[in-house]
Amino acid sequence: MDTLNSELVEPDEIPAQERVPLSGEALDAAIRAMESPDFLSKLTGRIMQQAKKMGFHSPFVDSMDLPGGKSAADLADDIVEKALAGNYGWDRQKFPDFTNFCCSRARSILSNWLNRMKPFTTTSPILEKDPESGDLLPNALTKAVAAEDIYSTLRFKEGGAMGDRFLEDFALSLADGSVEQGIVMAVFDDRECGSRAYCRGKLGLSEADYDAGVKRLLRKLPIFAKEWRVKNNIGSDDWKEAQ
Amino acid sequence: MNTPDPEQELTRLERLASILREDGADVDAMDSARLAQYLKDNKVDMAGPQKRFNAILKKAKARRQLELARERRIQAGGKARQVLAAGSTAVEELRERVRGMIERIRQHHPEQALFYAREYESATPEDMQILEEDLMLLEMDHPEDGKRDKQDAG
Repeated sequence: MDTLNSELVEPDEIPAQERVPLSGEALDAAIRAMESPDFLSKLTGRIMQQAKKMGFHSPFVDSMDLPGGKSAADLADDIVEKALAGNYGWDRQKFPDFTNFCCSRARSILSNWLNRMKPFTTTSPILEKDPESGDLLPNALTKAVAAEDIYSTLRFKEGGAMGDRFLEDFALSLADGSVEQGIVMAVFDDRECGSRAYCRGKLGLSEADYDAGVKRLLRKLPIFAKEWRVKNNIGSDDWKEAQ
Repeated sequence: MNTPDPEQELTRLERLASILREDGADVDAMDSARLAQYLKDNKVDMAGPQKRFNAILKKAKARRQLELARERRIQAGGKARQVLAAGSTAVEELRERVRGMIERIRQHHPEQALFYAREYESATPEDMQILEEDLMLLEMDHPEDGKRDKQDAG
């Protein structure tokens, strides 16, 4: 499984030989931001929320670790360190605020990771240009090892098609007309239904009913996934076959 | 950060994960205690990352202080040339003075001192003069350290 690793040179990072560490007013501004109360905690919280919004928080396991076991706080540190070292071009016109700039980098790293993982089921290796050397290298996905967690498998296997099948089966396993089934069906049918407010409005549910439904879903999902995995013979072999 | 990226469309399962985990919390509006609790509830351990962050910040500040000291040194001008003109004994005395200053800094700011010690190791006589002026300005920025030294000695 590919790791969300900020040691990896992201495609939009500045090549090593052209990097200039922050200095002068830019360094002053960064230091002022870093000295503001709870800078790291707030940045971590915002990265975590962004990751949740992008579906990084598994619905099967209550852990907010990012792929590879890195936490949102680790990623925040990596980004700050790289920003100071000049790995990213800080456009102060576009992002006058250092925290917002760091958040934009987090979003980019998370997006890049998803882009690397999405074409997992390709049958031939994808060649990517290495931003450092300019060489064409096989996509890191072709070196992916067996996934430990069902969420990773379902997310990326067959370009997400396996996840769709899982979700269909899960919806059918829920009581007809229940709030939980309504939520799952709404998510399945409506691409806008990736936000709580929209989904609740679409289903016409009160906050209390919606929250209760969400809690029940979070309880039921891991149990159903375990059974589904066995029934459909989904194991590490499925992950390996795409290598 | 909050606007959805049109190119990053979530799969159905990711959409479900997203709405099941969405908490609607406004991190920026939280006070320190609530923020700490929020991160704890989300199982994010801040101890290690906070320590690393403090070191990153310290290093950045040391770098900026050095930059500022260099800027002021340029304005102060020609002392280096005078020392060089005075010969090798003057240069040795200069090296000793700089060593002493780094030692004083080490007592209160060990990591910062390490940074200057590295500069010291590779400094030419001209660099040494610049370093002395930088450190003098740093001492002026932290007069309380000097006072503490005198109190400790008394």
